[in-house]
Parts: sequence; structure tokens; C-alpha cells
Amino acid sequence: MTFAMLLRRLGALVVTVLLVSVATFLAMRLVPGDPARMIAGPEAPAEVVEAIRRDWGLDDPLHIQLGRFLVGLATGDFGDSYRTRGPVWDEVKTRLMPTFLLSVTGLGLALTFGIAAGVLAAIRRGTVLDTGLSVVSTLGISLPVFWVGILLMMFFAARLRWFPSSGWGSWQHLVLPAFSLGVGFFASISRMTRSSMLEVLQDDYVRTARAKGVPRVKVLLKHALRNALLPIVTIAGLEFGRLLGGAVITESVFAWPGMGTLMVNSVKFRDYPTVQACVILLAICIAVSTFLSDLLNLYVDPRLRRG
Amino acid sequence: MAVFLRRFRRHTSGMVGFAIVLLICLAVLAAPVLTRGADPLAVDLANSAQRPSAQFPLGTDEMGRDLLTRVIAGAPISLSIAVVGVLLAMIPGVWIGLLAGFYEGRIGGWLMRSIDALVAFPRILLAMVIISIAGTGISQLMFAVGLSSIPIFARVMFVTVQSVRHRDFVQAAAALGARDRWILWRHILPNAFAPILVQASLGIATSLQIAAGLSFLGLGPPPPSPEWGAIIDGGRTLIRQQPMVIIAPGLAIAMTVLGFNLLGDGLRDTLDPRLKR
Repeated sequence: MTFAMLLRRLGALVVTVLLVSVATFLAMRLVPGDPARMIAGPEAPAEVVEAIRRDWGLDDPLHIQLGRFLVGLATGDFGDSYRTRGPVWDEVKTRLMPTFLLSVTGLGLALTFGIAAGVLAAIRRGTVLDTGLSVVSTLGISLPVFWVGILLMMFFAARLRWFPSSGWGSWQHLVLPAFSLGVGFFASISRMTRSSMLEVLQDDYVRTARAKGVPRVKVLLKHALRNALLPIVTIAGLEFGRLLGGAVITESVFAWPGMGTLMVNSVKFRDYPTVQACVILLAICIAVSTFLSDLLNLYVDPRLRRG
Repeated sequence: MAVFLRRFRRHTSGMVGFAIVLLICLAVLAAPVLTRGADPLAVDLANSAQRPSAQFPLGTDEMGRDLLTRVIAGAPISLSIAVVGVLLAMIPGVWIGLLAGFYEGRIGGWLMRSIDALVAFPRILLAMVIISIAGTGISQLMFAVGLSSIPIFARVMFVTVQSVRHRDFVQAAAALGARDRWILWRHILPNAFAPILVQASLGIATSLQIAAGLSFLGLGPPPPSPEWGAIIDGGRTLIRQQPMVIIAPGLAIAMTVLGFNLLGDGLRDTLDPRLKR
């Protein structure tokens, strides 16, 4: 992958985010009810609704409204919330950091344990350990994330009192949400690592390295794992979206003040502008993570740099 | 078919999945017998949050309703949301994938590129956007779960069409002057049967998780409904007094999801060994 290819990827991602924005804008037109009425509130007199319609340009043709919306987005203006009546951005901006912290920690935990488990399963192929790990990962994929969260809360917060059960403030608050978020992701990473490692371990250079007497650990980590990492990095980047989806639910379990809790509340209130802002921001996060995984692959595998 | 059955019977985890799914279907059919006609919605505040006892095998929930009855009564609800959702997704998904894959060109390429972007986007968020437009309720939830899984079906179909459309038997049919519709119907669609069936089974599993998650967030059927995720949501305050309200429906979700996941994996390994991972 050369520089030009990377640029093309970046361009495609920008287009994706743009498409998501336009789609959410158009979807908003499907919301039953009059947006001017939603902004004014149910008791407002008809003149007020009319005034809002005029002031906000809601009677302009669709393409002009769309243009205004996109220009707004470019300058960080996501419109006004139906619930608070204030700019959506004011509410969203404090929520970015918690969600980022939670998902990155969850991802880190899942990658650390997942890769370790996958490597172990691959080198002990066919043993009880391998079977046990595969059972654990199959279970991990099947457990609903919110349920894992409540169970962890039940055991480690309510019974053992090791960690606070909910809220935000210290690193202890992060432990339970991050682990519950990591479980499902751990499962897919460890599966992927196992099959990727098994493939690589059969390659000639691994046999050569062993034959010339390179220490076993070094063969595993330097020769095998580094090559096995490529598909894992790609999958991790692609699946980051699923992780963010899980974060939305996990946040609600632990009253974590991120985008997820904001989004759930906004969906309940039918506060569409806020939902829209969350969706667009999450789409940007997903696009960035795919791009980062491309970059990371370039770093891990110098062969790709030559294109 | 006989070959497939023989292979599937030897596939241990696939058979386990099949057994679980069968068991759950039986439980759904036998629900009235299992609950002995008890009402899953009958409120009895005098008996709220009871621990398991002879009278209430799993105890009661926050409103004094019998938990076992509710979990059993929830099975048809949770299952039907997932199954209807998958059926809703399958038909448009298969068509989009089929047409985009067969008529490549500019439009097909663009269509597939947007589908790819949607596949990377978390399904639960798509479903939430749909709910914020359509509102909450059981049919809205089915609709949201269904619409949000169209992209994955389109993707599976697209990949399948791409893999067969340049094969000899398709080329031969085209050379013989077969019309597009005939080729699609007789030569391409049958080849997609296996991957779509596999995706249907795996799709029911993820749809169940997503539907339960949305109900748990209060975006599913309204309160008295014994949908599994909704029961757990109701039991959130009972973590100490009656943890069964959380454990039992959660186990039910996990078992069902596990069953469909194992069944799907087993079908993939045996229906089409080329797809084996």
C-alpha cells in the first residue's frame, strides 16, 4: 500500500462519513410530525411555530436545507436539541472523552487477553487448554454484553465491593465497564489469533528459524506472531464499530456519562438532532479506526509499503 | 442431502446447537403446559422480589410476578422478534446482493460500497436510529432489527454471486442464450442457498442479542411484556434481593444465542466445506 493508496482510502472514508450524514439528514424527514412543532414544544401557539419555521429555514427547499446542514457540520454545528433547546454540540462534547476512554480500554483488554489466549491455543493445539479456550470464546460471543455487565456488577461491586457499581470519576470506575465490553471482543480476537497463528506456524520460515536453533519463544513472538498479526489488526479495525455498539449498551448499564447514555436517552425522547449528531460522530470514529488499522498494518508489515 | 446429514451428524458442536434450538422450539410450543396456565402478567405486590421457593421455582420479580412463567412466556416473544427480523432482512438483502453482484458496473459497485460502509457500522446503532424515527414497541423493534440486518445479507449474497458468476456453468448458460432471469433463478440462486441459510442461523443469534439489548435499554416492547431483555431491565434494582430476575432471563438469552451460533457454524462447516474456517 503506497502513499497514494492511503490517500485514496482516506478519501473513501470521508465519502462514507458524508454519506452517513446525508442519510441521517434524509431519514430525519421521515420522522412523523412537524420539526418546527418539535422545536417549539407541544403547547406553543401556532404563530410561534410559524416563526420558528421561518427563522430556521424549515420551509426552504430540501437541497438548500441539506446544504446548510452540511456546512453546519463542517463547522461543528450539529443543530439544536429538541430536549434542551440548546446546541447539540454543547451536550455531545463532554461525552466524547468517556466513550473514547471506555472503548479504547475495552479494546486494549480484549487485544491483550485475546492475542495471548489465541497464541496459547495455537501452540497447544488439540489439548484440553485449546478446547477449553474455544469453549470460552464461543460462550463469550453468545453472552449479551449488558448481562455480563450486570453480572460483574453483582459480583464485584455489590458483593465483594472491590469496584464502584456505576458512575465516573476514578480508574476504579472504569474497570467493570471495560471488562464487560471486552468479553465479546476478546472472543473474536482469540479465535482469529488462533487460526492465523496456526496458518503461520506451518510456514517455511518458521521451520527454518526452528531448525537453525532460534529459541522457541523468539520464533513464536518474532517470526510467527508478527506475521499472524496482520489479519488481526485488520479485523480489530473493522470490528471496532461493533465494539462501539457494545459501548452504547455498556454505558447504560454502568451509568457511564458517554455518548451511549446520551444516545439512548435521546432516542427515548425522540430528540432526533442529538441522535443524528451521535451517529455521525460514531461514524467518524469508525472511519478513523479503519484508517488507523491500515496504518498499523503498514507499520507491522514493511512489504505493504512497497505496494 | 444424505451426505450433508451424515456429515452434520458427526459435527459435535453443530449437533449441540441443533439440540439447543430444538429444545427451545419445543419449549415455545409447550409454553402453555409448562406454565400450567399461569398468567405471566399477574401482579402480586405482596409477593414481590421473592427468592426461589416451592411456590415460585425461580422466585418472583419486582412486581411479584412468577419469574419462571415470565421467562417461558418470553421465549416466543424474543424468538419471534429475531426470526421475523431475519425474514424481513433476508428478502431485500438477497435481492440487493443478487442484483448488485450480477449487474456489476457502476451502480452495482456503488451499491456494494455503501453496503460495505453499513456493514462496518454497528447494527445496534442502525436499529436505534430506526427506533428514534419509528418509536418504541414490539413491531417497531422487529422492523428495526430487520432493517438493520439487510446489509449483512446483501453482503453475503453479493460475495456468493461474485464467486459463481464467472464459473463455466453460468457462462455456458449465457452462451446458450439463457435470459438473465433464468440464469439468476436457476444457476445463481441455488448456489447461494447454503451461505444464506448459515447467515440466517447466525443472524437469528445476533438479532436476538440486539433485540434483547434494545429492550433492556427500554427501547423495546413496553413494561409488562416478558421479553427477556425487558425482564432484566425490570430486575436491575433487585441485584441484592433477587438476583434470579437477572440471571434466569440472561441465561435464556445466552443459551438461545449459543444454540443458533453453534447451529450456524455447524451448517457452514458441513453444507459447504469450502467455507470452512
